[in-house]
Amino acid sequence: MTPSTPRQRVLDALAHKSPSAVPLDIGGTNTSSIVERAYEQLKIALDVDSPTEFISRRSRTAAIDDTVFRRLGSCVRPVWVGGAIASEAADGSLLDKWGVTWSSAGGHYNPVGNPLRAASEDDLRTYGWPDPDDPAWTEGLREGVERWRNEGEFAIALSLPVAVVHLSQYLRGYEQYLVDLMVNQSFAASLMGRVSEIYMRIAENALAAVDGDVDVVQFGDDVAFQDRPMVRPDIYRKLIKPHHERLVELIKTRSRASVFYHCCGAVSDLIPDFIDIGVDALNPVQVSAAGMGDTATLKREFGRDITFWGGIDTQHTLPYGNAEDVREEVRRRIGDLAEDGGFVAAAVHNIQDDVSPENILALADAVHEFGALPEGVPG
Amino acid sequence: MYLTSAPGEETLYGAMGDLNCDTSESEVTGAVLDRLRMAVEAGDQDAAVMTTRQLIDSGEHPRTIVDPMTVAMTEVGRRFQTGEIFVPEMLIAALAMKASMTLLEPLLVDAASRPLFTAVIGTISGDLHDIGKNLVAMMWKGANIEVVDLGVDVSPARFVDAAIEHKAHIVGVSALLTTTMAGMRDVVDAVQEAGLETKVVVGGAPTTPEFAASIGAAGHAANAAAAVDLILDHQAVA
Repeated sequence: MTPSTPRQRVLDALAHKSPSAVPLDIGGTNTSSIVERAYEQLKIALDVDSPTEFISRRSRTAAIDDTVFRRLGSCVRPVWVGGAIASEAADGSLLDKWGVTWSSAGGHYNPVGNPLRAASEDDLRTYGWPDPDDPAWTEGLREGVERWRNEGEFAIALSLPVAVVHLSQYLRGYEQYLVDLMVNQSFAASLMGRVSEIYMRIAENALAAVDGDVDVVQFGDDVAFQDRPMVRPDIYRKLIKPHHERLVELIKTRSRASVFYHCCGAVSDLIPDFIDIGVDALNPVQVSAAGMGDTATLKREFGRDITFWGGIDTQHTLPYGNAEDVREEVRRRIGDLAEDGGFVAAAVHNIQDDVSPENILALADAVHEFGALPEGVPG
Repeated sequence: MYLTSAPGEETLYGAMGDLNCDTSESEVTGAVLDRLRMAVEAGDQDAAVMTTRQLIDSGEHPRTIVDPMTVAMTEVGRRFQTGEIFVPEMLIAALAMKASMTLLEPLLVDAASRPLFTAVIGTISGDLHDIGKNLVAMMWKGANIEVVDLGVDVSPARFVDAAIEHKAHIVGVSALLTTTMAGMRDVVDAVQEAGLETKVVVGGAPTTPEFAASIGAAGHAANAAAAVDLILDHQAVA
């Protein structure tokens, strides 16, 4: 098969058609990039000395340099909604526009203090919510798309900041949020409703800024833990799913993009719900979570209806394995997931600080080696 | 089994209706203790507090009041282990017990009422994630283990100092990040170097039994309910 462009390979995979080769994504979205220190090491290994820019400062996800992109052979290029940071304190902590403070202790940003921990429903009306029409959110988006168009035939992915569950947890406190879902559903619904309303407006503005002309729109909102969904599925369906459904609908009416939804954890029981609301690609396919490791079964059960975007283990193989282990992991996941499209190879979540440049390169090289369809696919 | 009734419905008023003048005092007490057990199981904080007050007022020994809650938390742990319930159900059950214990703790002063085990718990240096650690702390308390919670970003030296100060039987270390989990080995080493017999047990999303064994930890728990079994089944504590 004649090799097609990186963009065409992504589009084919999303359309469940066999691409000429399995597409690779490292750095295409805010949940499939490389975290700061691992990226710095990779740049050193590749003799690249450009300054590091970030997709998200809080996640420390690198906006990957074009030389690095080309060495990796990654098929997706990112544009993102920024402008989330309101101010930075002398101790390095960040205050975001939602009023959440992020401490940088330990080299990771973590939310500290929960401004709505003790809030009532009335307080939600008077809280200092950010202005969704602030032009800072969409600054540089249009130029970003134009830039990548001029660079070559890559799939362009717009990362949205929408995270109704996560933001509610930061505002309310993780435990209080989970308690609300059980015993104070009215408050949980009001909080998520308010947050969702603002996010929808930001998403609308972002989609307008790029004229809906991107290939993929990403959003992430975790609703699962390592061993099971975060909450009883009926509560997820009643209180959380409708917000995601509205966003997917907005993306589909305001763009020609496929919808990429990032949700870590044990989500196998919820995949039918994701398909139901129109999610096109599930990321990161956390293979180390319960019920997610048997990717051949996931492909058999859901592969016709959803694209798996991710799948290369970041909890064990990438940090602790050697390059040969990474090769075997890639070979296995391609064998399980790549038949008839429906697979974009990527690490499970952003590649963390403890992953060596050798293993990042082994991941990229193995995808190109084993992903050259059809003869390269084992089994 | 899922919590389907509104808090208080079945647990409090349902059982109260069964009581009448012919019932003997011990039967009344038994029924109230049972309501307390059901309130904790269902995560009904108001009912747990109300029944606890009632039992204290009727002169019940505080230890007797704790017992049905321990039974309830064992059942909640079992349901969690079998996948019948999710974290929020476990959380509200633990919080219901916690609310009741706030009333009981000042009364549980005599030696006979002291918990069997003392545990020090914290999230490892460099890691600020605490939902898993908090759940383990709550479930341990629910199993009548005294818990000293050191919070997040805890250094090996702080674990050791607290273990000495509180004469801890167990040090529980939590990590969410693969990047911070490596520091758990330093806690095991520090406890050994201090000459303590305290057992170090570890948990958190990226940890495995193999990892725990490789760093010389005494045990590993995959979740908060398993963390209780780890101690009560003497898997980690001799």
